[in-house]
Amino acid sequence: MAPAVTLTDYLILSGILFSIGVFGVLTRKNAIAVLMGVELMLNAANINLVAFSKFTDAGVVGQVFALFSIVIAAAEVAVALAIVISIYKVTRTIDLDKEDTMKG
Amino acid sequence: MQTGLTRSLVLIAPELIAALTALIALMGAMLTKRSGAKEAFSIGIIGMLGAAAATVILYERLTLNTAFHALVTIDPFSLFFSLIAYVSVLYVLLMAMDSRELKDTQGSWELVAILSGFGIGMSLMASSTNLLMIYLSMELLSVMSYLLVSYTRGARRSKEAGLKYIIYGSIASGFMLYGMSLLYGMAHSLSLGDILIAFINHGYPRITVYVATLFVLTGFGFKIVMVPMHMWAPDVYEGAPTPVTALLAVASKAAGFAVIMRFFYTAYISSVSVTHYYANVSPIRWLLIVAVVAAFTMTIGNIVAIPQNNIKRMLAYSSIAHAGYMLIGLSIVSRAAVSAVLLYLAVYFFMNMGAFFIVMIVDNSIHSEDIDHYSGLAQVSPGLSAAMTVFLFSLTGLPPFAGFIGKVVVFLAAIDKGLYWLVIVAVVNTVVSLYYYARVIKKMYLETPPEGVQPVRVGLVPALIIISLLVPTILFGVWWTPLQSFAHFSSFMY
Repeated sequence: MAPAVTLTDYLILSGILFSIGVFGVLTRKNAIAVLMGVELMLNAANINLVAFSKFTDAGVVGQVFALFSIVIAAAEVAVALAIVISIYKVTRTIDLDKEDTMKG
Repeated sequence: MQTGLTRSLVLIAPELIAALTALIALMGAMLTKRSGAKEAFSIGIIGMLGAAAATVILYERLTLNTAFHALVTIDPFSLFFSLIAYVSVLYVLLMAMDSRELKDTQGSWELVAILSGFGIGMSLMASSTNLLMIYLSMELLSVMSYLLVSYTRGARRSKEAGLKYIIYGSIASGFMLYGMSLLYGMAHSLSLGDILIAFINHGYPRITVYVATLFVLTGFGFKIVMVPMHMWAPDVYEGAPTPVTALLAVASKAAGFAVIMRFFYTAYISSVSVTHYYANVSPIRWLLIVAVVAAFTMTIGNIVAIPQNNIKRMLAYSSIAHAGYMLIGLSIVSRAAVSAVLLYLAVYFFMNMGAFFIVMIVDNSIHSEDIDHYSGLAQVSPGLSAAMTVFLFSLTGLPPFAGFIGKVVVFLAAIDKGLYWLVIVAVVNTVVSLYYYARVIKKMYLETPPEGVQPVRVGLVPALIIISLLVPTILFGVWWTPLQSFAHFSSFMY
């Protein structure tokens, strides 16, 4: 019989996911790819919240929080994509390195 | 629980009025087919006046109150920030009516709706006593700010600023959410009060508390433009339409300080209310971290402000420096420190809003934000230049203007707790900041204007608005007792 999945396993998973997200955010130059990295960071936190809620006596508020954060992430991505599209219409690129008209 | 719900709804009356304003504005956008900018702004102004009035009424007849199962706490502290929220949105609406950048966007109704949402978000941020509410209200404020920054249609600078803002902002909120999930895992509760009790009763491993606290602080620090989360500010402040820049510099920063003080004073510091004795109950030395960050924030802000040629960019770095001065009040725990930060924020509202208002009016007329183009402004528009001089001297912290009182109160609170090194750093920084503020004044007064330059036209309403910001900036510099007692009473947190 396979050993049961414990809280520690979930925390390790979320830690790895969060690190991948941060790495993607720091290395990617494409605006969409950066947003995908952010999405990984948010979902790592969601895994934490749900895992703590299930394995401890913390009640269901953690799961409620995770639901809210999924909705908020969707709203944020909608605004981000709208801005990306509108900047693409002007500059024909979504490369973050080329968005540098302001300096100082 | 019928009566409990009714009581909760009464307590958030200002937010309900602002929400109603937003809904009316959205309906107006649908019904009027994108015309009627005047009506849109009138409804926004009436709504914000109503919300501010409701806040004042609540403030006057207040007892200890938690609402919605202790998700939010309405106390003098939160109402102080609600008042700042609605009054700043009101001023930004008045600014937007005259703004050249926002004139051709045609979306005045939506602008009113988004600004009302910003006011609600900021007001709820100050009253949240639960991690879930903090996250939700902060995201409401953030998403509204992203929209506002990129509001100018077709202007590349504004879009670029919006993209940078939302990418930095969502990274910061990703860190914050992860930190919150760790705090939840430790305390088994999202309520700030329960986190405090958990800190007292359990000995948590120091490294976990450090990671959780620093991650949460990353999210809050992004809002107050704390080094090293300050990289976005100059570009966003420069690219955003000037009224929005004023909103970010004043209201967004105040909201960040509200939530940061609420978070630490409720979850990390136990207080004995009779003796006003405060103690840090968490196992980590976060006060020292904040003190070091404060020193870096003000130093970097002031030094990088020196070579700037765009006045909005210069004011952006100056606002980073001001965040550093206010963080001094956060690196010590006492009632005096909280009330000092509140006083500083109130003063900062008047002087910074005034400076940005004048920047916008000058930009409307000469179509430039370059400091070089302010040459000889005093000869063609003496009144406007005199007002700008007062605001800039006040931002420096020179007596007899209000900015001086703000700085003195914060420094005294720090000296009282023996934090001498930080006060010395701050005083040296104040001297450095005089250089770049005075450079603008020198340009205006000592240089000759270029040939054929027209005087800047100031209408009656903008002139009255500037006077309404100018009078408190001078008055509170010589007669600060009422403002100080207001800030002291508002520093009550339950």
